[in-house]
Amino acid sequence: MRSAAILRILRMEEKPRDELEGQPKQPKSAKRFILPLLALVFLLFVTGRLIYLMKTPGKLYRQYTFHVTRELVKTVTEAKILLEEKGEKAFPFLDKMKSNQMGLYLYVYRSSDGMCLYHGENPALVGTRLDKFTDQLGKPLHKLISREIKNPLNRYGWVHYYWNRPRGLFLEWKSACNLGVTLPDGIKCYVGGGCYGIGAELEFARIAVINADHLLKTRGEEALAELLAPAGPYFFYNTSVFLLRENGRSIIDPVLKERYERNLLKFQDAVGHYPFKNLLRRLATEDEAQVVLYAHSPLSMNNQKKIIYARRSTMRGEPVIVGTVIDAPRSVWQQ
Amino acid sequence: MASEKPDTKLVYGQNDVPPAGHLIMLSLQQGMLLILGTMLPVLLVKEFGGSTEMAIRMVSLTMIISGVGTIVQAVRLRWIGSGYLCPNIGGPSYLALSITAVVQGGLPLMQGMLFFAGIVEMFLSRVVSRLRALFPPLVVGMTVMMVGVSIIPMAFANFCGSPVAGDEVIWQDIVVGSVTLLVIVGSNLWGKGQVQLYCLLIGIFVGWGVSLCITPFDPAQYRMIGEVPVFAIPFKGLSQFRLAFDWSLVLPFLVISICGSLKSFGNLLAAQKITRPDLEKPDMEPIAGGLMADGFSTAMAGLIGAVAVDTSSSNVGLAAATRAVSRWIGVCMGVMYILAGCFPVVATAIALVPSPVMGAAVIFAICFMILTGIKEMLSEPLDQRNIAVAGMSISFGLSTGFVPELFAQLPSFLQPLFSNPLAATTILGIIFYQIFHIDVNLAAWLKKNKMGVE
Repeated sequence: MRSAAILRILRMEEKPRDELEGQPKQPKSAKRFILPLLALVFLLFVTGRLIYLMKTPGKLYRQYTFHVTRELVKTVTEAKILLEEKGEKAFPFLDKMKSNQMGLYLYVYRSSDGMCLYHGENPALVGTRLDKFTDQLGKPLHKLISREIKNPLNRYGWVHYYWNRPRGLFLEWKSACNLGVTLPDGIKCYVGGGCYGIGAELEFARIAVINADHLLKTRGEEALAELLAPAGPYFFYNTSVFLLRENGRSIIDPVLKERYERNLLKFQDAVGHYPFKNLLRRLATEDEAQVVLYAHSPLSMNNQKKIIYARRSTMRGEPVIVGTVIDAPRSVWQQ
Repeated sequence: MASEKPDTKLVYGQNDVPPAGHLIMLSLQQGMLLILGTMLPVLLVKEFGGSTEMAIRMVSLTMIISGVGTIVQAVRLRWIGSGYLCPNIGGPSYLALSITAVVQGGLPLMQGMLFFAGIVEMFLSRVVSRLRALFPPLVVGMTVMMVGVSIIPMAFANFCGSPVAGDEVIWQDIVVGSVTLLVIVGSNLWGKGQVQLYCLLIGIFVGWGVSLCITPFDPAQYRMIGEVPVFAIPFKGLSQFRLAFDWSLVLPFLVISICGSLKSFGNLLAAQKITRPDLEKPDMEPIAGGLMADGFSTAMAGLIGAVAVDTSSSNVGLAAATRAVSRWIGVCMGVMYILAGCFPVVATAIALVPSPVMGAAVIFAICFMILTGIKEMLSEPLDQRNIAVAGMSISFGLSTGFVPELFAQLPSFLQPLFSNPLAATTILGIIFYQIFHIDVNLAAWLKKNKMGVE
C-alpha cells in the first residue's frame, strides 16, 4: 500500500478516489479539529521554549568554528565546576563526560609536580608524573599547560601537541583545553581534555599571535628564538608565527619558518592575489586583520584556502607585523 | 482501479492565477527555498574582509535583483522571460571569480565583469534558440537529471547541519533534518488539499520548531533581529554604479558565463517539462527568452553591486512536487523578495532557518528534478545508440564528482567545463549524441537532399 503511494507520487499521480471510497469515513467534526489542535499545541510549546531560551544566558563559545571544540570547552568548564565542588569524589562523574565518538576524555594532574590524579582513557597513568613528559616535537607538556592556565591571553589554556591517539598508529595534532582548579582540600591541579584530528581554529591562531605580540613587546629581539622553537607554544598544526617589517620584508618567513629576509609584497598566491600587500594595506588602518590566501593543490581543481591572521606589534620600538597562516575551515560539500 | 497512464494534472497551471491567500502562501513557500542563496553575499564579503554593513547591503541588493529576475522570468515579454516559474537565486558558480575580481580591482571590477558576463549570457540566449537539433529528449532528460544530481552534496551537507570538514555531525541536526523531511514527504504523500500544497512550508515550520527545542541554542542569533534596521534602501547614490573592466579576467568570466547558461538551460528545460508535459520536443523560444532574462539579471546584479544571480534548480523541483507552476507565483515571490530586500529585519529573520531544515527541503525538491529528468530520457526509445550516449555521458559526468583529482590535470580553460557533473554531462551528451547518430543523421540528410534534387 505504502510503496504504491510512493510510486504514485513519483509518477505525479493523484490519489485515486476509489481507493478512498472503500475506507470507513471518520466523523467530520473530529477530523477537522485534530490537526489544527496539534499544530496549536506545537506552536504554543515552541513559543514557550523560545521565550525560555531567550531569557536563559547560555554559553555557546561562538569564537570556535568546530562543534567538537565548543563541546570540549563546555565539558572541561563543567568538569572544573564539579571538581571545585566535590573534589576527588567527582572523578566517577568525569567518566560519564567521556565521548568515544569525538575521542574526548578528561584528565586531572596536580599542578606542583604533574602527578596524574585522574585519567579518563588510561587509568594506569594515575600516580605517574607528567613533569618530564614531552610530545614527539619535544614540547614539555606539564610546563606548557602550567604556564597557559595562568595566561590571561589564553583563557581556556589551549596547548597543542603532536601525538598519536590511543590505539592509533600515526601522529596527529591534538588540541587540549586546560583549566586550573583548586580542590576543596586545597590541592591545586588542572583539568583538561583534548581532541584529535580537527583543523586549526582561527581562535588558536589569534591566541598564538596575541601572545607573540606580547612577547615581542616585552622581550624584543630575544623573543625570536622562542617564536621559532618547534617545541614551543608558537608551533602548532605545522604552522608558526611569522614576523614582517612594515615595508613587507620578512624577519621570520611564513613559509620557511626561520629567520630569512625577503620582500613578501611581491608574493602572488595561486589565483594571482597579493595577500601580504593586501594585509599590510589593511593593517595601515586596523590593529588586526585577516586575509585569504589560495595555495596550489595539485590533486584538486580547487586551490587550498588559507587564512592569514596578523596584528601590529613593536620590537624594541620598531613597528612590525606578527601573524600566522592556517588552513581555512571548509564545509564538507566544498571539499 | 487506478489509471495506467500517469496523471500529471496541475493544481495551478502556467497562466492560472491562484486565489490571493494561496498565491501568497505558495510564493512564501518558494521564497523560503531560496534562503540558502541569499547567504552567498555574506560569504563573498567575508572572503575579502568587508564590513558587516557591506554584507547586509549586498544581501539586500541580491534579494532585490533575485526578485526582479524572477519577475522578468515569469512575465514573458516579446524577447525576454520564459513565462515559467523558475526563480532566481544568488549563484555560487560566480563566487570564486567574483572574489578574485574584488581583490584585484575592488567592487567596481567585480561589478564590471559581472555586467560583461550578463551580456555574454544574453548573447548566448540568441544562439541557443538555433540549436534545437542538439537537444533531443535524451540529452534534455540527462541535463535535467544532472541539475538535481549536482546539488546533492550541498543538500546533504545542510541536512547534517553543514559541518566543517573534520568536525562532528551532531545528532540534533540529524533529528531536525529527518523530522523535516518526514513531515514534508508525509504531507505530500498522504496530505490532502492545502496540506499537500503547502507541504514544504509545513515541514520548514515543524523542523524549525523541533530545532528550537533540541538544538544548542544561541539567543544572540535571534537578538540580531532587533539590531538590524527595520527599513533601509540599499542604494547609496551614483557611486554604486561605478564599473571597471580588466582584460585578464575576460576568459574566466566567459567560461563561467557559458557554464551558467548551461545550468539555466537545464533548469528552464525542466521547468518546461513540468509546466507543459505534453510537449514532445523542447520549445526553444521561451527557453531562449528565459536565458535572456537570466543574462539580464546577472548584468543588472553587476550594475547595482549585488552578487551574480542564477536560476534555482530546487525551486523547479518544488514546483514539480506541489504541481503549482503558475507564473504568478513567481511574480508574487519576486515582489516579496524586493520588499524583503528593503526590510533587512525580515531578511534576517528568514535567514535564521536552521541548515538541516533547508537541507531536507532541497533533498525533497531534488527527488522531483531527478525523476523528471529520467522520465524525459525514457520518452525516447532506449536503443543501443541511446544507451551508449546516456551511459557514457552520465558515467563521465559523475566521474567529475567522484574523482575530481583526475580532471585537475586538464588545461585551466577546460577545467570549469569538467568541474561538476552537470556541465560535463550536458556537453558530453550533446557531443556523443551527434557522434553516435552521425550515420543516421547523414543518411537522413542525404535522403532529404536527394528528394530535393528529384
